Amino acid sequence: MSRNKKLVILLSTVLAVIVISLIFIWMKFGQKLQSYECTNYAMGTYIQQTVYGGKRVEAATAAAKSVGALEDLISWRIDDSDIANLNKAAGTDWIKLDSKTIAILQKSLDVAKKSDGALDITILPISSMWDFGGTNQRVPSADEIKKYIQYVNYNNLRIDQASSTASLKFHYMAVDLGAVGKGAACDEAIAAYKSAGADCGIIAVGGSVGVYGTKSDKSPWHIAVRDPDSKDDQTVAMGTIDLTSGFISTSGSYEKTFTENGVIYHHLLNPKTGYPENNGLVSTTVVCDNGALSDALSTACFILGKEKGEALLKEYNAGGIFIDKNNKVYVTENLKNTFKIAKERYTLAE
Amino acid sequence: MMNHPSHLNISPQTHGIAFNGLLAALALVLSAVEMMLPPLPLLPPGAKLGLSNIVTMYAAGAVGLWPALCIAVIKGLFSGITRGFTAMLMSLSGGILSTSVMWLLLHIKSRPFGLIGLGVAGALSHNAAQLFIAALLTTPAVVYYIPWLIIFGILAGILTGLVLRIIMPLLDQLKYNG
Amino acid sequence: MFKKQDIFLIIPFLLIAAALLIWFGSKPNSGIAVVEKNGAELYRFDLSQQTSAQEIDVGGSYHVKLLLEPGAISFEHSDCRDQICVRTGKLTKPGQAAVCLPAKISIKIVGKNKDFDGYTG
Repeated sequence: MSRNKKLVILLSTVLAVIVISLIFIWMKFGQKLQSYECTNYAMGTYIQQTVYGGKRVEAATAAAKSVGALEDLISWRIDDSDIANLNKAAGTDWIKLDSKTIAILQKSLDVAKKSDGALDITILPISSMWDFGGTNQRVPSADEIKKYIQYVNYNNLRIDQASSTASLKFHYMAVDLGAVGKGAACDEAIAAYKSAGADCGIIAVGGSVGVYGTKSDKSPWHIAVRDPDSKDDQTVAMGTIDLTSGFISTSGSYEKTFTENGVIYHHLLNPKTGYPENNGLVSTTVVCDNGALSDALSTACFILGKEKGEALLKEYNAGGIFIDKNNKVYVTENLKNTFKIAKERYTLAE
Repeated sequence: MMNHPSHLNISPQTHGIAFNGLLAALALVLSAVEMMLPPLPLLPPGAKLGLSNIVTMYAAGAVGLWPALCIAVIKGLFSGITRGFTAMLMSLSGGILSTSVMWLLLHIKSRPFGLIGLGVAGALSHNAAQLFIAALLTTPAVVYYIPWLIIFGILAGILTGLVLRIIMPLLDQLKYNG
Repeated sequence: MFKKQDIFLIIPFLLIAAALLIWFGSKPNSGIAVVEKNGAELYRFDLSQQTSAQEIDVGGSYHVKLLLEPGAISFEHSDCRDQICVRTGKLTKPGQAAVCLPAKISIKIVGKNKDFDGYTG
């Protein structure tokens, strides 16, 4: 072949490579930028997702489906759900539960043990009387509390992981996974993103948020911590936290409240007293590598208060933000670099 | 290959090296001048006119592929020293690809392309290589710059070709007469 | 300096650039259309999620109707005398707004560029 021809071929190849690379860049990276947003309603709250990548729609759909499926398993309000069945069987036999339910129960019990009962998912006998967010919100009488508080005891919830069975020891005992469910839903969704092949995404189930993957510009996920004082405006932030991975959940006394005889009652009940916890905190936020745990821990920390809460978080290698009535903000060491206060009113306690 | 001047009392190799060194220095000066110009609108930050490509374009035709590539590499290293690691990667990738492309185009026997076309090819391939590196290093959002990089690449290429046309006799003088 | 074949290097690329620009420009406009009455928010629509044309009957004494389309919102009808609102035409980009003063109804597009990826709490 003449030298000329060889060069032309070489040149054409180089140019072809350039064009193909550009098209390749375009296809691969252009897709990464496109996002899909969707909002559903489940678990009594809004579920908002933003997913990126070629498979974003499938991933979001799969995630929404998995959250719905989880709700069908663990909501005590749904007939024939694992938890409804568990509650029905209280005081009788052990019943078989889905492995997902068992796993969530196990995690909740673990947090209950480590928090000395600050989180107790067997609280339903008491919480159902208060009925926060329901049609029958009321302050139960002291007698009622006294009568039913004895049934609130996580020690009487037994789980056998090997056989995937569980049992509530006494009649009238009942489990409410409300303090853990939204975080668990985030776990399901993130798993769905992974198996559907999304590039990256974020899901918020009520106040629990889960993130997956890295954004295309390699920046961390910017999560806003809602201002406890913002009343109805859901978009006011008191601070921001940058998350590269993991889950974040918040428990706040401002979330579900009702007023009776001039007194405001909030939904974070102390399982030992049966009444809303009043230790000066208005909200606790927990960052953890598991969704269900982040949700469970945020509730436990609210009840425990700042000191014991921080100690509990250490055991799980989690991070936390505690905000008290005086607008003072306490941040665990491991979050100090990624959390920033955004509203002057709040001050970082040292 | 080069016609080394015989009236000077230095070996062809020395003359070759000296001339290449001269070209490299020229490229660096043009780079430095470019850096002092304000950034161009609509283009990614760091994008420059490509004045130093005038040198690599000339080198691709006048001194052969390897010396020309060396000049491109020196340019790249210079960018690394003065502007940092990312700038170095950008300059190296752009310089190597554009120099190679221009050399290829020049060595098609029929020489179908003029200096303008050559300049455009060089500028476009320079931009393409840089875009690729940028997409890998930063964000895929750089793909949105493609249309503007093409347009400015063509303009810069035409400018480069024009300038080279004008100073070509000068450079040839240096080459042949020392 | 300039040879005929140089065109083959310039024209195709210019065409590619033009095609890309048109392609980028045709992406559905992303923005949130906010409809307010008397300054209070009535509706919010995500323009980029809108897949078909839809008429929004805001009602009121001026029988205001809005037209919501993929990437655009506009006043379709109002009983007002000046018809400034209707004549404003379609709003497509963040920052644009149209108002029917007599009816006290306004529509505006706000940027979707979120400060945050998510909220907790």
